[in-house]
Amino acid sequence: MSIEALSYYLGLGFFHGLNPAMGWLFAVALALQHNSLRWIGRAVIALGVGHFLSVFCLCAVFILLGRTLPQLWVKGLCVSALFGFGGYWLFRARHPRWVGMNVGLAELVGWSFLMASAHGAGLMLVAGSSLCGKSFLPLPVQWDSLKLFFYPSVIHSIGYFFTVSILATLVFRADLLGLLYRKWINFDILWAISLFLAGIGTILA
Amino acid sequence: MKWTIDPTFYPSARIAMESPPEKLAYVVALNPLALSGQENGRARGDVLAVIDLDPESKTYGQVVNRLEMPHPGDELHHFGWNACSSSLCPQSPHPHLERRYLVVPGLRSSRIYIIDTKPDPFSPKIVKIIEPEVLKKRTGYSRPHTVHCGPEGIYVSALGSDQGEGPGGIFLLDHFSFDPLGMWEIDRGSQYYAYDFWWHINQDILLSSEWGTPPMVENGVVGSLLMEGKYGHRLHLWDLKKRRHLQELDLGEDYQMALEVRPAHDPRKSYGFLGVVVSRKDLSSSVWLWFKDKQGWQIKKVIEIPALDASKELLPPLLQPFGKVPPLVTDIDLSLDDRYLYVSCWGTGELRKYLVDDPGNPKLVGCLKIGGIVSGFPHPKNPRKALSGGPQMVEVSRDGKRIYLTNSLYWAWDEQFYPGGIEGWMVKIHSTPTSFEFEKDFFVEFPGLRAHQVRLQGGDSSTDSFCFP
Repeated sequence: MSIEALSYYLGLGFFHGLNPAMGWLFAVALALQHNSLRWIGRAVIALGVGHFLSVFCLCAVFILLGRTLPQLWVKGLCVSALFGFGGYWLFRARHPRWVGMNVGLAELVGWSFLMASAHGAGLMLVAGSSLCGKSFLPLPVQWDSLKLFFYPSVIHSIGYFFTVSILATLVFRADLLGLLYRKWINFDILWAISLFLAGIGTILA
Repeated sequence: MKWTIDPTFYPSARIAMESPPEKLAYVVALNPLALSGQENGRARGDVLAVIDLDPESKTYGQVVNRLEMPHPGDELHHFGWNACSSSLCPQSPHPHLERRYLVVPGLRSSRIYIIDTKPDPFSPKIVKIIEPEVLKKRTGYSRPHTVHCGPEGIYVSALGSDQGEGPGGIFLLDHFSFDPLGMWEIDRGSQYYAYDFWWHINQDILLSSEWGTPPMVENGVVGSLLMEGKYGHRLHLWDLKKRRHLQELDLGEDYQMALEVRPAHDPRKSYGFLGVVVSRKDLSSSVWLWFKDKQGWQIKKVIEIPALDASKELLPPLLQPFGKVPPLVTDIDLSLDDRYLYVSCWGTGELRKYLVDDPGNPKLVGCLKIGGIVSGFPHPKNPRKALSGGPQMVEVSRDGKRIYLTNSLYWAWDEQFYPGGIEGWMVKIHSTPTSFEFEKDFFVEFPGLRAHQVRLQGGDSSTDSFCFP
């Protein structure tokens, strides 16, 4: 994997981790509710697993699609999905309603999976692979290419995990919620913009 | 689409207490003539009044605007915000909603008004009306009562079914479109009566209380039902996520009308207070504490307020056989730091202040007198004028330092307990750990109208739910 690709996936992981809707806020709330730092550790592992599963599954879907559909179709599908999710988060930002606040770790994995999927997190990875010139979109796909969608998901999830862990620990330990809520920016807009950018990038690539 | 978060969403009660003081209040006021059929000419609707609460302002302590509802006879009662601090709850964050619309149900008409308080907070406007037929058809309920903004949408309790009998329950409104989404309950278990509800949001526990079905309340309290112990006396526990009934906590048939539900604001705490209007044994009122311990959820009486003897000629016909004036605790409110509980005694004209640091052992630390069935205590602004009505809906400011109080309960019940009629008023009280007193010059009158619930701009102690401690 090229250094550009590596930094793209890792950077995207940092970005996803920053979004409060992707889990760090949940980890903070759980740690506060149980009054224990250990909950940050447990929660971020569960969140990381869920996030990884979501992006991994989405990449897998595109690989499998690529085995049956012409490349142009797959690319078109990816671009329209990116714009679709972008539009959704810009004009009709609604989060999935699934769990309450009283969650176990398995539910947290599910929640993270659902949130990442609903936000189209994996799509940005798929777009990235064509952006970085190390595309797994050019097909037919060999079995060998398993690593092509496995590695990006892993690297991305490491970046995500890193950000979520640091952010959640920091906010919990330093009691930063009061400060944060005044500085909170609308991540849904940032997110929608990134989806649009990824869509445009995929068209141009 | 906003870039920043609504500044009136607070992650925790702690942070909400540090927010700047409120500058406006919205108060619903009932037009009694529309209900008694004595109106001459065109019948007028109820009113949403805007009260200036900014001491720096020239119109401080005055009604600065009135929004009249287009339909007479709605009986505006409780109401709430479209969105509040629960929008910051991490499992379903909507931080860029706005606390902007008031959801104002008509308890008698089953009509719901959505009122926009922007762009000019002094001049709110009706932007949507949910007609009774639509509400009944979509939710199976009528007589909408308590409104709470939750992480999934707007929750509203309802006293009756679409047929006007029981069971009452809870329905949901969409956050964005305000369309009724349907009945909330999936399994209602033993629950039949409805009234108030709230939740322990981080524990996925919803609590609901009981009054009676519409025929039991709409024409006034029915003495025979009360003596038979038929009014609501249970607190119901629900799984907030699964929408299933978990358990009922029964106070016993002597305790009639378990109304206001006030859980601790700190989401880590598992207790709260429930106000009970009257005991059929001795006309006393009580406040109960529900809590969770190793045996599970429990409830016990922590405050009892006795009825006072009174001569018969001073009492309304309903109370004459008893020769007593009941305290009638119709509202209670807990400050955001969970330290003080304010208890309205609508019958005896008292507002009591309890220190509830130790929730199992409330300590009475203050008592103010105003109005009352036989006492008619005056307000310091005009010490010679006897006042009608008594302390009823009580609202505590976010910082806990100011209390606002109104005096009307519910039209048909007003007529029974205050047959001479009620002239609406609203007063302001200053409350600190060492003092508890009326603001002498703050006395808002509502000529011809009866003031009910108060909502403070930017949130208050009975609207917000916090997911962070």
